[in-house]
Amino acid sequence: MATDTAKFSIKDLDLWYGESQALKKITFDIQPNTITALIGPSGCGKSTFLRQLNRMNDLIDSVKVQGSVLYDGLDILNDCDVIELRQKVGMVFQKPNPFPMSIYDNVAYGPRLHGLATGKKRHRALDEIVERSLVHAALFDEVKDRMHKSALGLSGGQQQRLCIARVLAVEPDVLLMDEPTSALDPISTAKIESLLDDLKKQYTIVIVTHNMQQAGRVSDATGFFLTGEMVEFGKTDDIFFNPKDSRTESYISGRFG
Amino acid sequence: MNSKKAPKTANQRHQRELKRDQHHAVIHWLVTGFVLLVLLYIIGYTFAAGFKNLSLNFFISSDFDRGIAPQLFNTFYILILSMIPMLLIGISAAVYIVEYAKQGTMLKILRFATETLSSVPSIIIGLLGFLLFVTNFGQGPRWEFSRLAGALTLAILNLPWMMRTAEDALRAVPASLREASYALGATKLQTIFRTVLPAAIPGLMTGALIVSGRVIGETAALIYTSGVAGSSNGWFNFNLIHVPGDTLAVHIYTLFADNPTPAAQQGQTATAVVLIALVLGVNLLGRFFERRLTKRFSGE
Ligand SMILES: Nc1ncnc2c1ncn2[C@@H]1O[C@H](COP(=O)(O)OP(=O)(O)OP(=O)(O)O)[C@@H](O)[C@H]1O
Ligand SMILES: [Mg+2]
Repeated sequence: MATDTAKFSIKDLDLWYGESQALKKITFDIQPNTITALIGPSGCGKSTFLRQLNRMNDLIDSVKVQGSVLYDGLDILNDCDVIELRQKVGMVFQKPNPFPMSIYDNVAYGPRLHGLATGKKRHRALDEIVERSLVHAALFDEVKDRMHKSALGLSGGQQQRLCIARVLAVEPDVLLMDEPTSALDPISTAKIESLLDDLKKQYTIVIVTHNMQQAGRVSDATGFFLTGEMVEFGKTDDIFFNPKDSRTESYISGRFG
Repeated sequence: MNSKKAPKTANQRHQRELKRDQHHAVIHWLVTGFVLLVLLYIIGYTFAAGFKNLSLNFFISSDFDRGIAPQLFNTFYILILSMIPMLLIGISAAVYIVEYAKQGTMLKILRFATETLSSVPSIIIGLLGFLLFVTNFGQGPRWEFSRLAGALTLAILNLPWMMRTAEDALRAVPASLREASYALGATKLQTIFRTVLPAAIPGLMTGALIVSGRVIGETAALIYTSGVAGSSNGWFNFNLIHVPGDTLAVHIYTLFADNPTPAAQQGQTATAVVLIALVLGVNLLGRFFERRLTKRFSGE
């Protein structure tokens, strides 16, 4: 894998919460326009790793980091503007977390922050960004008549797609998703999975999931985490059907039951 | 340990818990009933004594023992004057405590200070207000007994309450909303102004109204600051620092202290009805806003 074409190039990434080490020498590349799944048992550091890619870990005082993470060749652990980084590297959380505002204002939140709709016709421009993002997140048809109603009146699955639309509205380049369907019913999950396939054309996606079938269905590459280490990383088919490491094999066969 | 006792079956345990719940319910209703009774007695007694003395003229007359027009005006004027600095300082302080302050000595000192301040008797705060605002410690240009002096004194008196309720309102905003905002590339200040404060509005509103009830009812802190005198001619003026002005609560005190004539007693009981109605109204309004806004924030 050539480093210069990678979206993210992670090398020897160590992370500590105070004295306890949560990530150990993580090293691998994430390719553009692919879906990378991160799997592994609870507490192995998947979320921690994901939150390092957009530096959400900065919000936790006790976190110390070492190593390097290159994003499009740029060292994001040292010289980088976090605001710009988070605009480019969006995040969808495990529990849908819409703001207690209207559906429209939720999607417009990011564009308003970053002044994406400008000029004389900026209201029209903002309307267009909101509509485009909702269409892209496969939610527009369901909410087009209630754009100015509270987002909290939506179902869980709709709320999660709204959160995806909200991220898409700031025109990101990467989507980080931490178990985005674990709080949803199978139908909502299926909707989001088919959405992912569509989004891949435009974005690079990294998704944490406990659902092996989901990882198998949607991802191109898979990384297996165990107690803070990346045990194995490779094409999803190889990881699932031809793992090199016995720990990967036993985890995957155990999860498939 | 005595191990002879047969282990309880799930059903027995369930029965026992059920019984305990029933006991709790009985105690709960006894306490609630007692508090309700006291409240109803106070309201009932006040209304029984004073309601018959109310008339339209009572609201628009500015005669000392025949009407409360000046006192109504002063009460609302002082309320607004005191809420403005209190809201600004109280909410800013709460934002600092919740969003910026690190757990540690500084925060402990701040908590100790506000808790102590909130337990100082209001008459003492009144004397402080007198020295600070009315006499200016005998230095340089001075104010008179005035409504601004009263309002600022009430702001000092109630600031700890405002801070506490504002802090609760901010802490009630889920961390997941702050994370969502940061993850979209918002700065801390943007997150506070666009996410945290708007989401906290129901709580802030309720807190402000509860504090308003305390402001409307306060007496001791005003006697030495906004004064006991109603300037009966030309009371309808907005002069901040040279004109005294008694509120409804102070008026009840003056009517009794200066002039316990039958007419004054009638005026007193009628004023009490108005005061209680106002305080109750403000509290009910607080609940109403809380409910309405919660509804808006959680979808219809
Ligand atoms: N804020 C924190 N402070 C201290 N330790 C933390 C914090 N967040 C996570 N940890 C610890 O770091 C380790 C990795 O946690 P992380 O949340 O990354 O695991 P995960 O793989 O996402 O687990 P799950 O599948 O349950 O979500 C765990 O041992 C956890 O207890
Ligand atoms: Mg996790």
